[in-house]
Amino acid sequence: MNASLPVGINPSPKTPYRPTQQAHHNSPRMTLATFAVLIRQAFLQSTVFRANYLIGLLSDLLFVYLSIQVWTVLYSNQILESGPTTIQLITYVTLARIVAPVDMEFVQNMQQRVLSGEIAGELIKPIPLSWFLLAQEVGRYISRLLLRVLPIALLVFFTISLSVPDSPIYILLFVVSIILSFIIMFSINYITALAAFWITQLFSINVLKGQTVRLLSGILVPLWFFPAAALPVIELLPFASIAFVPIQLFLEEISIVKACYSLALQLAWGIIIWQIGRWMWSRAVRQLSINGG
Amino acid sequence: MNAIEVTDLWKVYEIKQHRKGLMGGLHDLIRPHIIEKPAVRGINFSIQQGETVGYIGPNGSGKSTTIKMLTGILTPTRGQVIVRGVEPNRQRQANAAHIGAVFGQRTQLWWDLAIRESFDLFRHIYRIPAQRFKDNVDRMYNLLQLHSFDSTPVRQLSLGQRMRAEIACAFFHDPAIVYLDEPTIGLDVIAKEQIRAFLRDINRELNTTIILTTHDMEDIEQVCNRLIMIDDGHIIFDGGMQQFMDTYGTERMLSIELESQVSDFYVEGAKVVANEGKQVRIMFNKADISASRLIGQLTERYSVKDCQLQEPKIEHLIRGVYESRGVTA
Repeated sequence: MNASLPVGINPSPKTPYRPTQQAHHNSPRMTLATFAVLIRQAFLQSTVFRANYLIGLLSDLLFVYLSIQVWTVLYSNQILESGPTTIQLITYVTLARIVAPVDMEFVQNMQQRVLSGEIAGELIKPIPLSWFLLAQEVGRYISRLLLRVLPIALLVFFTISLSVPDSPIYILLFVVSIILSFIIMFSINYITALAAFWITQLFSINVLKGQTVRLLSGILVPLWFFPAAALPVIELLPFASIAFVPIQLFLEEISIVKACYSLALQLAWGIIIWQIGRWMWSRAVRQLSINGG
Repeated sequence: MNAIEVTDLWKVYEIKQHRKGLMGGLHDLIRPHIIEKPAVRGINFSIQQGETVGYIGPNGSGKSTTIKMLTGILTPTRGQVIVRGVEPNRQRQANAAHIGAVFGQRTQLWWDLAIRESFDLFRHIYRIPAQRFKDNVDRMYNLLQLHSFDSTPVRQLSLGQRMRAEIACAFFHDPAIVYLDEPTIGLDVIAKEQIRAFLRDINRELNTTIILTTHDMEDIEQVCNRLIMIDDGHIIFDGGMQQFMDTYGTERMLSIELESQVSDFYVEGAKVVANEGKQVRIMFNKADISASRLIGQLTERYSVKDCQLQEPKIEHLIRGVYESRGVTA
């Protein structure tokens, strides 16, 4: 922290407030340092419960293993004449299962805080709720990538085999795409969470969100196996950006031009959904501040 | 500039009233029956920097609604709130930078982390310079005695420990004004005393304005130099503690121990409230008769062994004020 910043506090512990003294003129902002600390805290917190971590890891492993078994069997029966190789399919189902954070922790938490009225406290925090939650989720996502995605991917790589990109351009595009995918997924979860201001039970809308995302993003079934007529429409929706686009980049299955187009579309969706979230929050604040929630 | 300036402040809630029966239900769907419920009805006060104000009133009196408007959580229906030159509900984040708040049982701390980790987060959120933060942490640790549990996860803390940590959180960024809503609820006597002492110290040392709502009159007596009472959306008393005592606390109790029992105990200007054995208690109004004259009369008439004058407790007085207004607090 830069000590010379005009932070709104008293210069010395012994100096009392004087009415003329504009001590708190500059309000705090969300800085990178704050963001980094929030990320670190969320990361630390995600490592607190060891049993929870191990159970999650085991269930992910089990699902990845089952998906690989099911899809290789289906695929060996030639349901598709032209298409990906078996190793590409294995890579796809492995990544699809683990890479996208479909359900984020703060959604259920939000409902509880709206019902208890605790959410009102967010209005007197000096940083916006959305940034606070985003930083927390980034921390959790990093922990997920390091402690879940990486071990599982390595395990599959050494026991079954995975196709790994060799072109640095595709690796870079994959990383960009994963970041955009995370932002879209966060925004979708944020909107779902804010629904708590208008409905009392988030459970069903959260399930609806999860299933829609899993189906249309290609997590449940790779989009290759969707009807050819539906594909152009599905690819235009924000969901394809969550899993299908990044994984295709990982597999080096699309041209650079198509990749740039897909990333631009991802970015556009990211911005749109983030803005919807902001709009909903301002509506929620208005409702909260007029009728007390 | 006053720290807080409240002018003709109103808050009216709109509440959907449900009609009876099936047809009523249908009617509700099409056109809800909305009734207006005023919670705060045109209150005025101003608070100087450095004042310690007890803001009290029975449940549903508009107490929390006022605090929420002061912090910027609620938008006033009519009238104006100015806190250090800004309207809190319009400039929430500018206002948030120089206020601190403790809302009863709601936590600001991170459930699974040790409190010192949460404190570090506050340093960054409020952008407190490192040296200043260190000084404040030292102060909080000393005044609130946080050392023994600063590395324990919050979920394992006792209520008293957690409340102390919560209160520390509200003061790290040297706020000019701190709102405390029921800060001692559910705590044991020792924890209550620690918190009251801390509030007194910090107010004396930093001239922090403290607005305290509580049902525990000991909190008010020990921390506040001014009392604002609200009932049914109106302010019914606003003044110093001494003024409150002078206005409502004019009744005095005198306990007398006699040499022998007197069944028809009587003294002019006072009312006998108890007469058991050799113990007699009488009540008098100090506006009507002075204590020395009363005792003079007594010793003339009876042989008094001992007597003791009791000042009324604020708690009893406030209860008296509520009861006279038909409220059961």
